[in-house]
Amino acid sequence: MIRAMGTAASGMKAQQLNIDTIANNLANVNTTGYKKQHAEFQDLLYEKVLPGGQVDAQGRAVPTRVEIGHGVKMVSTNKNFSQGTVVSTSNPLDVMIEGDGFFQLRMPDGTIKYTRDGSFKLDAERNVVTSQGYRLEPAIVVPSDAVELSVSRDGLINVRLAGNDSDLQEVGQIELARFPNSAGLETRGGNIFAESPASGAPLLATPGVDGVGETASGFLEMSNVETVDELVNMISAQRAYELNSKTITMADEMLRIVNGLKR
Amino acid sequence: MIKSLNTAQQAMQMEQVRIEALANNLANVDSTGFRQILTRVVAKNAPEITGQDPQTVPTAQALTRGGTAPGGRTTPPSGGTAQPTVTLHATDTRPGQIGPTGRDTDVAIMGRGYFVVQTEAGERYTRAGSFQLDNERRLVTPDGDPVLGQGGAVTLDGQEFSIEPDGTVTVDGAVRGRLRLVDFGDATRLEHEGSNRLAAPPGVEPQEVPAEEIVLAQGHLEGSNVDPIDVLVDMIAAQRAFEMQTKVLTTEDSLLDKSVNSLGRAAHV
Repeated sequence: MIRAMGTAASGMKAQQLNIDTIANNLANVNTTGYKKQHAEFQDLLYEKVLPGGQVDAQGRAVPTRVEIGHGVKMVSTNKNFSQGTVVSTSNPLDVMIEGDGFFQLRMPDGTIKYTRDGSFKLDAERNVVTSQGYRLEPAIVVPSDAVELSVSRDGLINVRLAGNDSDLQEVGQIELARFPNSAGLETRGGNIFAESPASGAPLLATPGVDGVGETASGFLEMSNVETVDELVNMISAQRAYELNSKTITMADEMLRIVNGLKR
Repeated sequence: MIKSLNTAQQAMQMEQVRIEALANNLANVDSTGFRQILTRVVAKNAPEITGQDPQTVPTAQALTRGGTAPGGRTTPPSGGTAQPTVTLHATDTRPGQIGPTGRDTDVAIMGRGYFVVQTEAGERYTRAGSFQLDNERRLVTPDGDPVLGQGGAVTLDGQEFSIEPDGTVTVDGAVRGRLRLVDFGDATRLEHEGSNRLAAPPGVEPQEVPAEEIVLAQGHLEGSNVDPIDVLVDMIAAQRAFEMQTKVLTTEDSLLDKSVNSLGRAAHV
């Protein structure tokens, strides 16, 4: 009985984590470049009170067994890297990756992190940076007399300088990174991912080459959260939570009966 | 009198084991590919346990007389008609609900069969197709155990891969092999190992599912086959059976109380 209560408690805790994951998805339904997460559950170890396949005195295999489980555990929160919804912004510095790949960012501590959030701005020194001020890697500087900027499908950034109506000047080339296992990337918050042993080493490529997606200027990739799916998951998580609480109530009732046997 | 106390005690323990199995099923109502454990409380000499022909199983009356039953089993005379009970566990082989997930590493088996997974303890089987890629781009379970195809672990080192409904794995358009699916003569005897894995006990041999019978659905996952309604109803029944046994205990207790305390006193007078 005590074990049944522990088992049901593990069920309730797991559903609580499930709801936390769903709530985070729903909170980020409008976040640029957000990738939804999905909680994955597995059963816990079993105690073999009576293992199967035992042979009795006559040499016959006894087909019975008794194995008691201990509940459930959350084993992973997988990030789903499907393409998010597209929003047209007409801002040439808003770049969306159509396909696989991540923008590389140079962090203040010198390391490289990755993002799908392409809402770039210019800082005081005219570097291309993210909304938080992290520089795009390889660094791209836009001249101060540039009046028009365009980003091609293969990541080439061109500007038109003031007074020069005909020629476009190349300012830089965006390079994207692709991972053997994107789902293994570490989430750092702020729409930023970090390389991890599970993700593998990044492969760099220009957009459109080697399986990396193309860049689309003037568009932003929003989150890939499907609100209908999340709400359905939330309802089923809530009901599973309730069911497990019924187990605890029942086990409690039985313990109360046992306690009342001897007055 | 003491014997009926023991009988009630044993029945209570059996109901407790049953509740624990039901609680585990309920806790795993959301676990991918979970196969629930079915419990049945049967008499100790039931044909399912001894393997005997049901016609020759000694009746309760024969047990009380003692002697030799058909088959050469000798039983001592027992004081009452009580037959101790045991709980049987079997794995429910009914499929769970299959739904789309949009992840291309998720695979669901439509129909019979189990995926084969290589663990340190040997081959294990599962219906949970929530696979991932590790940093060598092998198809693995969330615990990191590789999923086996015809030629061992499956590596998807390419830009695009797909898992066809007949189990064929293609990477960048080239066929790389086929996923292995096995089935069992009596899958109810598969044992749960935890982590969504099932193990085959000795005596249960896996048979490869032939290619023409494999039906897979990439981008889909099979859920748990736990039906909460059944589990709750079984739980209520187990709780009430438990309560009934406690009534037996309290009745026996008051009878003992009478015979020990009251009878003795009457003799003194």
